[in-house]
Amino acid sequence: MNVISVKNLSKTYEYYKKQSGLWNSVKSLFHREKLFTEAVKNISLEIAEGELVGFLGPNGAGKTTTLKMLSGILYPTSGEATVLGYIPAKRQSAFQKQFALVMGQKNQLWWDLPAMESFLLNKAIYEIPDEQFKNTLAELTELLDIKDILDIQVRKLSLGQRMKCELTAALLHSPKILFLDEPTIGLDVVSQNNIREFLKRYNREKKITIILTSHYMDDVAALCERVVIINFGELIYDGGLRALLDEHVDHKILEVTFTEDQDQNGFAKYGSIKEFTARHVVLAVKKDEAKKVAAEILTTMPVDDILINEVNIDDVIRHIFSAHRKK
Amino acid sequence: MKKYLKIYSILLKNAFSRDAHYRADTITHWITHIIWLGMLYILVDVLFRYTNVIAGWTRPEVFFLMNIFILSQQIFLFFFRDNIYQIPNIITDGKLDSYLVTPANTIFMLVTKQISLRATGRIITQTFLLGWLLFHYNLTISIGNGFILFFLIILGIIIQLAHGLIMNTLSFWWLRIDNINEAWFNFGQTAKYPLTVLPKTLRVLTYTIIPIAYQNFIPVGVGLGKLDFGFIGLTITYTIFLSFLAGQFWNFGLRRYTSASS
Ligand SMILES: Nc1ncnc2c1ncn2[C@@H]1O[C@H](COP(=O)(O)OP(=O)(O)OP(=O)(O)O)[C@@H](O)[C@H]1O
Ligand SMILES: [Mg+2]
Repeated sequence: MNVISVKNLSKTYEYYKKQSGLWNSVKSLFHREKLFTEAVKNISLEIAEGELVGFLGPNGAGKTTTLKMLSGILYPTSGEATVLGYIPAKRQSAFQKQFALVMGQKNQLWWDLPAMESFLLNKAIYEIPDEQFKNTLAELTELLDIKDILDIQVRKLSLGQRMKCELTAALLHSPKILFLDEPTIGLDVVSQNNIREFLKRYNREKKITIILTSHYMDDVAALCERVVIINFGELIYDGGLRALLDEHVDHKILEVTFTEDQDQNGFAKYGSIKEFTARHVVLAVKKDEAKKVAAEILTTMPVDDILINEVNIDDVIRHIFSAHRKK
Repeated sequence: MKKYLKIYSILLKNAFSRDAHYRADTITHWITHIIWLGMLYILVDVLFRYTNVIAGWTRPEVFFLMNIFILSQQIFLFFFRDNIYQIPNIITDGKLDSYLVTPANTIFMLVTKQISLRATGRIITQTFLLGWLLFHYNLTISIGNGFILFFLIILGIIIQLAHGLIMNTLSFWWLRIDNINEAWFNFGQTAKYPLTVLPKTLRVLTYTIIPIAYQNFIPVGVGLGKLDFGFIGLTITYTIFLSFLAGQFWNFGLRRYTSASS
């Protein structure tokens, strides 16, 4: 069953250059410079219940804008979106009780109060029954390991702890859909990993549908089987991450260290040379020839160490972005 | 309804635990308030040195009018003013996003967000002062009129709220509203004095476009029997009208909301 269905969705921001000062404000009543940004262009996609989808795209691609339309913050300029059978922009509370939106860069908890107070406020806003609240809270605090920080003022928490509290606040009403805009931004590797593990598990156990945007490829690689790539507001890829890599990656990276100095010219025949110092070379070799080349180098040269690596996913994505731009 | 009472009780509780840090602040505010009050009294006293009646109002009546004005302002501050003034920021920096995705009325959540406990001292002071004034000058108000006075003050506060909301909704179009808020605040101080000093045409404005008459002039006028009961009807009608208008205008502005790119 599809819980999200998007057809030809577009958003053009139409805004006036805002002026400061009373006099400029009055003047701007009569003459204002109008500006347009086509942030999302004709996007169509379907997302099924329980999917965990990653939105990828460079800065300004339109990821956040898309999430804002799906959660009813912004009206689409054209096209339509249905989420759980509702039109998001109508902002019906029956709909709002079934999803949550977490933005990594924004703080939704009460800043100068302990997180617990925000949870209680959410309990009232979402009309969560006592029993359910108790159980869900216990479960989430256990999973995220935040039992002992609930009574500390939010502003005294570390970024990672705060993010965990944000997630708890968002999940207390057991939403069916979770929109996450850069949930791991600014976190250290350990915290990022904790959040990832949590999301993976929660998605698996609760069948909750998650859409996540991130600039960290590790997030996407660890979590999402399906990725949607958006660039300049257009959808340029929608499918499996594995398939994407297979389609765009035709080579592997061969990294060799030698015990004696080598001549650079000897390597050109194997593939393109990425890096070269006298005793160290990095080569990009055709995928299906990688093994053969490695074997040949190993037998004909004084090799100290040899590694066959997958291409860095970040590089692939960057390559896809720039290839699309040139079109 | 029950849901909103619940929400409000949580907000109230939070205001207390948060404001505990600002106790000292409350006392400074209270002292400045007392000094300011004293100066105001001296001014009015000077005015009445040469006459017994100004624009149909006697000295005790003017004192009473002023104190109701201050009380009304402080109650408005206690519940709403800071929240209203924050709306432009919430709109321009995109904080409104989180209000728009939660299943609770956006306007309610915006105008009740914080409670300004710092006004408590002043509200108590004003209440005592009013009691003392009634006693000292032998002003008599029947229980019925007292009730009407109280009721009209509350409607006056709702009118201030609706008006403030309309002004600040303008920030869907304009970047900064604080100078308008400030101008309005200063202008609103005129309401301390009997509006009968204004020429009739100007006075009509204070009932309509610049609705300052509802804060204290009409409540006190009716309460002291200086204005007829028709003004009660006027106040009720205007409260409903302005609240409705504020809601509609908000929804209209909201269509322009573009959030902020974050
Ligand atoms: N409130 C706004 N008003 C005007 N233009 C906006 C607004 N929000 C975003 N934009 C513009 O729309 C485009 C898409 O922005 P959006 O925030 O959706 O990108 P994004 O993919 O989330 O980028 P990032 O990775 O940097 O978060 C950008 O060109 C941005 O400048
Ligand atoms: Mg973004």
